[in-house]
Amino acid sequence: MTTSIKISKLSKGYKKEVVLNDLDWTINQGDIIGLLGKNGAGKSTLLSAILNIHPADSGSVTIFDQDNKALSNEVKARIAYVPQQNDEIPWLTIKELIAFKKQFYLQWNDEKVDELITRWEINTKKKMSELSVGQGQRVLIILALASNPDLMIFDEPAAALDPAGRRDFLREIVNLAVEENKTIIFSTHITSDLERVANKVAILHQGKICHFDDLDNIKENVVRIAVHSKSVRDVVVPNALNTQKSNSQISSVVTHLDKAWQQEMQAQGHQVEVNPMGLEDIFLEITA
Amino acid sequence: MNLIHVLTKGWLLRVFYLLTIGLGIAVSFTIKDKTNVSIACFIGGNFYLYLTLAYRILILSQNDFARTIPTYFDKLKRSLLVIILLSLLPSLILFPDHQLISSVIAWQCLLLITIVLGCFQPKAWFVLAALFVAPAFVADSIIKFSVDFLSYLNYSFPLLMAIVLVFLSRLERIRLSDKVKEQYLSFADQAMLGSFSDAEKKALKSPGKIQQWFNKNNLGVYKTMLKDNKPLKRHQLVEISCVGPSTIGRANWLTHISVIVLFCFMATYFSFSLETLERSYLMFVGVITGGFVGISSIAFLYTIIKRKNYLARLRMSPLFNDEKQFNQALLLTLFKSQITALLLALVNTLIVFIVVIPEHGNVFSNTIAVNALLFFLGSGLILLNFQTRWIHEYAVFFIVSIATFASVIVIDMSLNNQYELINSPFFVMTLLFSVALFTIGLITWQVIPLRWNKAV
Repeated sequence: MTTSIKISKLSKGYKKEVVLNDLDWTINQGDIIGLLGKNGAGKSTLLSAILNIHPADSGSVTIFDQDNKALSNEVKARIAYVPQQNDEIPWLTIKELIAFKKQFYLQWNDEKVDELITRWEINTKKKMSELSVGQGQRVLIILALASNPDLMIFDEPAAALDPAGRRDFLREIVNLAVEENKTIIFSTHITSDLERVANKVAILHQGKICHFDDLDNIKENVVRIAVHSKSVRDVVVPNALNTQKSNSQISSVVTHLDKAWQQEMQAQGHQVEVNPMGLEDIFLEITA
Repeated sequence: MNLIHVLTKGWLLRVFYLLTIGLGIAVSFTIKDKTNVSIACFIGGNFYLYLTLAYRILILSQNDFARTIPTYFDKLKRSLLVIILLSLLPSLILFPDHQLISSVIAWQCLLLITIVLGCFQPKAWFVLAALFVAPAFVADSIIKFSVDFLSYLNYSFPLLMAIVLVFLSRLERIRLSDKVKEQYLSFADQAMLGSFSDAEKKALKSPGKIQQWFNKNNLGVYKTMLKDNKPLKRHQLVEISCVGPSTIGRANWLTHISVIVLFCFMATYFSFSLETLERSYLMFVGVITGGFVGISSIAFLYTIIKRKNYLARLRMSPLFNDEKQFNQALLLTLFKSQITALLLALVNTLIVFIVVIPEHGNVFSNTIAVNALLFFLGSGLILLNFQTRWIHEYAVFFIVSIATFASVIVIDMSLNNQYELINSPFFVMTLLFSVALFTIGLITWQVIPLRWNKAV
C-alpha cells in the first residue's frame, strides 16, 4: 500500500501551550479519514502543519515521499487544501478567482466547476467577501475539487454548509474515493457525516493521535461493558478507559474487548453485558 | 486572470495611476519649471500603487493557499518584478537627465521597500515617516553635501534595486506572525473584532503609566470611565463603536506636534535656506495635513461601512429612545472625528508657518483654504454616501484621494507663486460646491431615515 503522508515526532506549540506533542501518523493512499478532536485539540494546527502552512516546531512530515518543507511543483499539484476560514483573495470575483486558480494546474476540471457552480447556485459575479460563510465554503470546496488532486485536506469543511450542501459535499467525497482512490482527510465535529463517508477515524487528544483505526473496528472494539455479580470488588477490566464500581456492578468503557477475559469472567459466574456505542459516545469517552 | 492583473486590479488604482502619471507627463512637456510637479506626480502615483501592491503582496504571500499551489511563488515574483519595472519606466520620459532619473528611481525603490516592510512589520512605518521628513533635514544645513540630496541618492540606485530583488527572491521564506497579520488586518479595518481586541490588548499590555496615558484613544478613555462607574453618553457609545484608523488620540497629537516642534527648532537653529524651508513646509504641512483631513474622511467612511451591522444593532439598545437620537449621535461622532483631523492639521500648519516661513502669508491662507475644502468635500460625501447611497464609497474614496493629492500640488505651486487661492474663481466655485454638498448631506441626514434595515 502506498503511503501518502508520513508524520514523525511532530510537535508544535503556541507560547507555553503544547498543541501537538511528538505526534506520529501514517496515512495511506485511498484512506478517507475523519479527524475528530475537541475544540482546541489542535486539529487545524495539525492539518496546517502537515502542509507546512504553519511550520511545526520539530519533527518531520513527508507527503508523497517528499519533505513538506520542499515540496516540488508536481507534488503540490496533487494536493488540495480547504482551510476552516475563508482567506481567498477578497478583491476578486468568483469567476476571476476560478480563472486565477486554473492557471496553476494542468489537470483542471472545468466540467466539475460548472456543474457544482450551477448545482450550488453560486453567483460568480460576486466577490468572495460578498458571499455568505456557507457559500464561501462551497467555493473553496469547488476550487479544491477542480484541480483533481490525489490528496485532499479539509479543515471542518461542512461546518458552515446547510444539510443539502453537506450531503452534496459528502457525496462528492465518496465518489472521489470510490472511483479514483483519492486520499482525503477532513476534520469535523459532526460524527454523523464522518460515519457516512470515512473509512478510518483518527482521534486527536492531548497532542497525539490517540486512536486511529477503521471506523468499523473502532465501533466494534470500543464498547461499554457491564459486569454484574454478587461481588465485583476484585474484578479488573482490561483496556478500560473509565470504570464505575458499585458493590454488585462494574460499568466500564474499553478500547478493546478482551474476549479471553470475557470468557473467564463468564466462567467465574459473572454476567458480562457488552453494549456497542455510537461514534459520538466513543469520542466523548475517549477524550473525557 | 494572471497575477499582474490580480495585483493591479481595480479601476480606482488604474485611473488614479494613469491620471497622475499622465499629468506628470503633460506638465513635463508644457510647463517650464516642471521638475517639482513631475516628481510629485510620479511619487504620488507610485506611492498609491506601491501601497496597494504591498497590501496585496501581504495577502497573496501569507494566505494558506500560497504554500500549496504549484509554481505560485515563481509567478508571483515574476509579476511583481514586471510591475515594479513598469512603474519606474515613466521616469525616463518625465525627467530631463540620467542623474535625476536614477535618483528618482532610487527614491522609488526606497519607498517601495519601506511600504512593503511597513505592511509586514508595522513599526517600519516610522522609517517611512522619517523618509518623508529626511530631505528637509539633510538637504543643506545638517549635512553639507555639495550636490543636491536627490542627485546624491542616485549612487545608491544599484544597491536599493538589489535589495528589492533580494526581497523578492526570498518572498516565500517570509512568514508573518499571526499577531502582526491580525494587527494589519484590523488596521485595514477588515475585521471589527480584531480592531477592538487590538486596542484592548494595547492598553492592557502597556507597561508604564506614561505609556498607558500616551496610548489612550477613545476606547481607553471609555474603559477608564466604565471602571470608575461613570455613565456613558449616547454619542460616546457610538464613538466607541467607530474606533478605527481614523481615530485621532493623544498619541497622534503628541507625536505630530513633537515632530513639528523639533523641526521648527532645527530650522531656527541651523538656519535652513529658503528653498529647504519651502520644501519642508510642503512635506510637513502640504502632505501631512492634507493627508489628515482627506484620509480621515475615507477611513471614517470605511469604518462605519464595515461596522454597519454592529451600529444597526446598537441603535436598538434601550439607551436610544428613537432612531433620531441614534442618528444624531452618529452625526456628532462624524463631526468630532472630522473636526479633530482638521484641528490637528491647522495646529501643525500654524506652528510651521509662524516659525518657519512667516513671510509667505499666501501659503498659510492657501493651506487653510484647501484643508477647509477637503473637510467640506469629505464630510459632505460621507453624509451623502451613508444616507442616500447615490454615490458609491469607491467614488468617495477616489474623489477625496484626487482632491488630497491636488491640494499638495496647489500648496507646492503657491510656494513658488504669490497668489491667493481665495481670489481664484475656480477654487471659490469648488469650495462653494463642497459647502453645498455638505449642506445637502446634512439636510438629507435630517430628512431621510437611515437605511439600517439593509444593514442588519
